[in-house]
This record gives sequence, C-alpha cells and structure tokens, in this order.
Amino acid sequence: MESDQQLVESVLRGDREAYAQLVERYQHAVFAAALRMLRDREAASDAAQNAFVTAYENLRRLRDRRAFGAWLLVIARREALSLSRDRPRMVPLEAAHDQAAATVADEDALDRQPREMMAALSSLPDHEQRVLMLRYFDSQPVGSIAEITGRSVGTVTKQITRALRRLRKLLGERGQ
Amino acid sequence: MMDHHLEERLRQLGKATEAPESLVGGVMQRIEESAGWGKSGRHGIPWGRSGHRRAAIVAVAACIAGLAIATPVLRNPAPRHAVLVHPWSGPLEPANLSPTLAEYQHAMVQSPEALDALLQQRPAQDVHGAPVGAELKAADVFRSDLTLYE
Repeated sequence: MESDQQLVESVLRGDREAYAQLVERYQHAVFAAALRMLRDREAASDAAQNAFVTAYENLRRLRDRRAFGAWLLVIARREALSLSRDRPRMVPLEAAHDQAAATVADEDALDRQPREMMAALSSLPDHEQRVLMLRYFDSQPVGSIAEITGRSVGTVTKQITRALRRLRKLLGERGQ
Repeated sequence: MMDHHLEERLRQLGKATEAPESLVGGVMQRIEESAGWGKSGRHGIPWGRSGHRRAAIVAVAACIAGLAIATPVLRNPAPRHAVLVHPWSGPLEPANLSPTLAEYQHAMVQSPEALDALLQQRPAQDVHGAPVGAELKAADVFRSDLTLYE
C-alpha cells in the first residue's frame, strides 16, 4: 500500500489516479468531520467534495506530505464552517448543542450519543483523529495505517492507545 | 469505560457517518472541470493563487533588477569610439581626437613652435573629465628635450 507521501508526490507529478486513491482513503473521515459540523448529509457531502478540491488546488503548499490526512481534516472543517455560514439554517454542532440540542435531536443526521462521541473525537489532535478514523471507521489494520501515515507500527500503536485514553477521559468528563 | 466498549462505539460511529455514496467520482469530475487536468502542461496541477502571486513577484523582481543594471549604463554611456588606454592612468582620450600622433611627429620635425602650438590644442580633460596633466607634462619633458638638443 502506498503511503500518503508517495501518493501526494505522484499527484504532483500529474498522476490523477493517485489523487483518486487519496479521496477513496479519506472520504469517510472527511465526510464524518463535515457531518459533525453540518448535521446534514447532503451538505456534508458538498463540504467534503469542496475540501478535496481545495486540498488538490493547494497541494503544492503542503510541506510535510506525510501529514496529508491531518491537513485534509483541517480543510474539511473549514469548508464545513464556510458552508454553514452560507446556509444559516445549518449551525455547527457545538452551537446547536448549547442552544437546544434536545429539540432538534430527531432531525439530526446523528443520534445524540454518536454525535457526542464525534464531538469528543473531533477535539483530539488531528493526527490522533486520523489514526482512529482509519482504524475504526475504515477497519484498517495497524500495519496499513503505518504505511499510509509513513510511521512505524510501534508509533501508530502508541498513537491509537494514547488517542483512546484521551477519548475515554473526554467522554468521562462529558458524563458518557 | 473498557477499551473494547469504546472501540465498539467508534465502529458504530463509523457506520453512522458513512457517506451515502462514494465521493471519488464527483471530486475527480470537479477537479477536471476546474483545473483542466492534463491540458496545462503543468501536469494539471493548477498554480492556484499562491502560484500566480509568486509569478508576479518574480516578474517585478526581474523588472527591478533590469532597471538597476540599466541605470548606470544610461547615466554613463560607454564611448562610441575607440579609447587610448594608458597603462597607469587608464582611458585617456578618444583615438580619433585631433591632433593625432602623426601630426605631433610632423610638427616635431618642423619646429619646436609647431609642436608647442599642437600641444596647446590638446584637450584639458580626458573623456571622463579627468585632467590630462601627467601626459601634458610628459609631452613638455619631451619638448624640453628637443629644445635642449637644439
């Protein structure tokens, strides 16, 4: 399996198939990040597409090519925020939760528990979000995640363990 | 919360946040439409705003460098004629300036007065505006030598 760095370099050399692989690899994580903020699948899909297009257009500016996934998640959140501004009826999850989460819960694309889980996950550092999403959303083995991220298996295992510990703590603080 | 319970909740969250359909087709189509992939000769990767900005900066820098090089040349244009270069004092005078060396030789043969008259015609400054005193002095010495032998 090619690493993010290898794929990014291939894209920069003009290999369109390499970018399709990156989209395939991260579409779930990007869509989930957008969905958490927009709470609307259609809008999340638009934001995710925007994020991939924006990432492609700015790919030359990415210095650490191993960090493509984490960088992409930042872009996805920005795109979702931008879309939520353009469509005022969509409010970021945190704001909605503070306002009247109970009253709108039925309309949400996510139920309350997964939504709060997603909020906790999103508050982790980007590289930890990325490894957890690859591991549990896409069921990638640790070895594959190591190849994708260009880290050693030991480093990825540590990142996952640390991320789970941090997530557990966050959920404990939120009474989950 | 046990780790396996947390992991299970993450997997459930993964299922709940799956995109309704693959984004690959839509994304690639949009990129091809917006970037004209394969048509640009830069392997389809667009310059983007930063690329255009960088190109503009390079163009401005090239203009400034060109002006910096051209300005001294315009201020002190090189002489259009050949210049006699003295080994110690540098460029002295245009080679086609009258009187010529042949005229000096001719005057020298004629009389000291003729040579003196020619020396009076010499320009007081060289092409760069510097006095040519040293050369005049040398000529004077030469003239005095002639006088001595008379």
